Amino acid sequence: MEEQKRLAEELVEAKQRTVSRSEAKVKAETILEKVKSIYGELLEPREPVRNPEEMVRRLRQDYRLLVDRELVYLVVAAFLNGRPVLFEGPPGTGKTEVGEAILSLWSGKNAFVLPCSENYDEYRVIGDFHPLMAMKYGFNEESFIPRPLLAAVLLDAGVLVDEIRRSSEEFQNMLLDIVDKRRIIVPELRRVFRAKGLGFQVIFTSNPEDIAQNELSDAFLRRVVRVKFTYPSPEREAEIVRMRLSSTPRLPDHLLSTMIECVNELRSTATHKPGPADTVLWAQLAAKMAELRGSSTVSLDDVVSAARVVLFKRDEDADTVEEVVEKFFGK
Amino acid sequence: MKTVGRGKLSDLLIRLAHTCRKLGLNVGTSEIVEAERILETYASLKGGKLRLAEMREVVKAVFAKRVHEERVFEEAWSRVTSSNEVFRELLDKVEEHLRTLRIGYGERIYSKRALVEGADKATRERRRRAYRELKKMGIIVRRGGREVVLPRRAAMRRIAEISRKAHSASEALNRHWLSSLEEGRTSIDPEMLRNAEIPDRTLNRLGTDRLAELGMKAWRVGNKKLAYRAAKRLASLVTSGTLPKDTETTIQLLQLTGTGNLEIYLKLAGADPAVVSRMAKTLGPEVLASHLSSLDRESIKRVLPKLARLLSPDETIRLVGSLPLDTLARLPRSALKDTGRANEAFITAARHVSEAQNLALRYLETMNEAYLNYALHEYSKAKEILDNLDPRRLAPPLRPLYSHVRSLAETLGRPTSSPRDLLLRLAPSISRMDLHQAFRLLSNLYTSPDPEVRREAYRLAQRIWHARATLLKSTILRKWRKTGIRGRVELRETVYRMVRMQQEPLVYRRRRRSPGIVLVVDRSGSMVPYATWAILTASAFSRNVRRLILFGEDVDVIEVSKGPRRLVDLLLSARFGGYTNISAAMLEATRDLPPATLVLISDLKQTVQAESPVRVAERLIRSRWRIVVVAPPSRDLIVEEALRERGVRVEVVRTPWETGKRLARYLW
Repeated sequence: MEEQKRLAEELVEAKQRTVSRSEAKVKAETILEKVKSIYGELLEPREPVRNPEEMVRRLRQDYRLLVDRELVYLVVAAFLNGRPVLFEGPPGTGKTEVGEAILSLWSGKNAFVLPCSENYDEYRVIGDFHPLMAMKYGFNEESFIPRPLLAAVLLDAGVLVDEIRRSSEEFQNMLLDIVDKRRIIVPELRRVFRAKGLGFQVIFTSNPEDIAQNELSDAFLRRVVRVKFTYPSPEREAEIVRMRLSSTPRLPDHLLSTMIECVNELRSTATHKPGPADTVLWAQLAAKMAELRGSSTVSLDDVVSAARVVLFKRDEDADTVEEVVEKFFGK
Repeated sequence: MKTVGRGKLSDLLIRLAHTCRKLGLNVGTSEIVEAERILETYASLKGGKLRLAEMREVVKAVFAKRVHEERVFEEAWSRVTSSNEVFRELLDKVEEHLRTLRIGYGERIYSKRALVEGADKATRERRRRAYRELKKMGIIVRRGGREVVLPRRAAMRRIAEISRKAHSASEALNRHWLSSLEEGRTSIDPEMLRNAEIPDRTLNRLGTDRLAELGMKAWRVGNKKLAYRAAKRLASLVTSGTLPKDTETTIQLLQLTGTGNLEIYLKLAGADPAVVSRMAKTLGPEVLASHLSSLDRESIKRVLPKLARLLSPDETIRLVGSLPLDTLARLPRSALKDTGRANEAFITAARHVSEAQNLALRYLETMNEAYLNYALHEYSKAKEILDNLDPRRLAPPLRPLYSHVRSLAETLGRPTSSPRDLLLRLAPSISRMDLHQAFRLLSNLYTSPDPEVRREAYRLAQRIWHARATLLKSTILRKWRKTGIRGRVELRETVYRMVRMQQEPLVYRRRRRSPGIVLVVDRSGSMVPYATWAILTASAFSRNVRRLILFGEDVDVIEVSKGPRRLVDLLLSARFGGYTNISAAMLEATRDLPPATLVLISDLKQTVQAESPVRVAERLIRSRWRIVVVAPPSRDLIVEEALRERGVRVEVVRTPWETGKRLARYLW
């Protein structure tokens, strides 16, 4: 008799368990569907590239980015070991662009980019509740709005966290927990979302020289693999500019090398240091001006007037820039 | 191509981690494991063995996470990986040299001449070179007035020290020489300069005097290129305001290399008037005279007596017209001869008036009636001259000065009812002074025995403070706009609270956290103008100053929160000068505070025996403080360089006023 009673109880319990499990399955699908309907369009899925050699080639060919082979190898090795990567270096050295491209190649889907600011928190990156819906239905799947980080975990895509130093320490710790364990907990939904494949990877970028921002904690730094970005050598910078520039109108070699010398000088003197991105923009602008003039070669005047637009960033640098431009171009 | 086999990998990583820890970079066990895993993955991706350089980059990515940590890592890496080949090579060299000189470890050298003596010229030359090299390496040192060869164990240690980080013996020796050059341990041996390659890094770390010496010696042995580089660096240092003690050599080098310009020469002359006549010869005295007014008052006072003797009467008159009144007292009487009677008389009168003003201020300070009598005496002399003078007969450059002198004389000449009255009359001249000079004067007046004078001095100090602070604020604030965050409702929190039926559900967004700067100000004598401006700036933005520290040998913590006006008291009562202990100040400043930004206003010259400020800064940075140093041109270059390497932001300001502007950027 006793035995029967116990068995019956167990049966009821087991039934309840299966019911709740299947309910959970239904719920998981609804969230996944939500994510797909919101972010699916952005992903443009394609074949993932996980061979470093192939990656370097594709970066050059599809993204027009010159990236060191060693860097790509290191990033891939870190990914394979489940470690997030931190790109650190001065502004304009291509941290964000390279990071986004590598992530996109790696997971075969366009990467999510989270540009950080001080008041970023889990509600902005994981998910939020629609206030009115929450008042009406309570905190459940119905009122839940998934945000990029959760979407990336569910869709197996990469995430680029831009300018991590601008975010608060709390936020950094939360991110680390997620990246380390490859899962997101949403306590309001009583749910855990796990990453399914290797596609979900994180790259952080930061610029330690920028003022008015937070330091990164030891705990954070210990968990990431840090890759340092520096200004490229003059030859490499010339190569980068050439790659980014269309062939007409033609930019003469001597002008380009003087431009790079000029930019290098500014990097040592001005407070706002122009990166290779600025050099590229400068060259592009000069070329555009030549094109508008209807000329097939970029002239000295084009370069100088483009310099006036591109290189002046801060009031206090105005004199320095003027001096340097005059020194190199005589105007 | 060097490679490392798998078996040795963990061994290498562990040794590396230990060396890193010894050098102050804390590498955890988990990082060793992680580095190994990533290295293995990397190697398998590459398909085979790794090059040593590649390995270094990978391990660095895991071990070194901050800019200054990279440097520590590099050091540890080279210590672990460079073999002891270099050590052996150097040791062989030392022993060969000792054999050449016929002495052994630990022996005393009684006579250098006997040591390098030899039968023929070649032997002598060989011995001389051996002696020089041993001295350069620090194997032969001076102890107790005599030169000795280091004992064997000490010599080994020295060689190990030299051979660290180097890939070859010659590189090690060269590096050792450069570092001793930087630290000023050795005198500069001209022979070494003949073909020396000195990198910019080393040049940048040398002080002005050392640069001048190096440049001149290089010039003499024919290394013109090095001399030019030294001169160029020297010129830029002088332009930014770092003045040498040995002005003679500096000018000589600048003139030989043609790197000096008028601004530089004037600055040098201002520092050391003894070189004025020499400079006047090359530049022409009239050129110097026409630019003299661009110097600060103290320098003008120093240069004027020397320069005036070299000028013609016309030039003297023109010079007088361009100078501030109080500097005229230094004009020698002999220089006034032949300038024409009216002009001579007027300049004399102007000198009397300015003297009378100084004496009147002295009177207020001391309340000694004698000073007042002197002042009145000077005034009566001036009045007598001015009354008999026809301004139309003055030379044109002096005419604008005439009305100024006249009105000043009238202010002083009116009968005074009380000392306070006199101070009130002098107030306009005081508020025109440099900030620190005005405050120094007022703080003297503040100790005057007359309570009326004290009160008035305090009031005047407040007025000057208010005017300058307002000026500073308006200059800074023009560039910045406030963000109007306050007042907006934080929607999510509010809805949460409404759902939970809490009382007062409305939640407002908080304003951005104020930066909460810790300001540390050096009060050594040379820092007075900068410190004064720093305190003024702190008072203008007092809400954002979490803690203000004023330090010399001891450290004072000042409560800023009690209102900016208290800082006026501080400026009036602070005593400047004495020894400096930067480390203690930084530690005191950061005690019991969570990491934030520390701004240090100092010339980085620590004059007491204590822990080096560089190490303190390094520790603070590791515990996540952000450190900014605002330094005057006369700062300690080596400490500056070391701080920069560790991630400290160093801003060099040329003028005290600029200190205020820079500081405000962090405070606002």
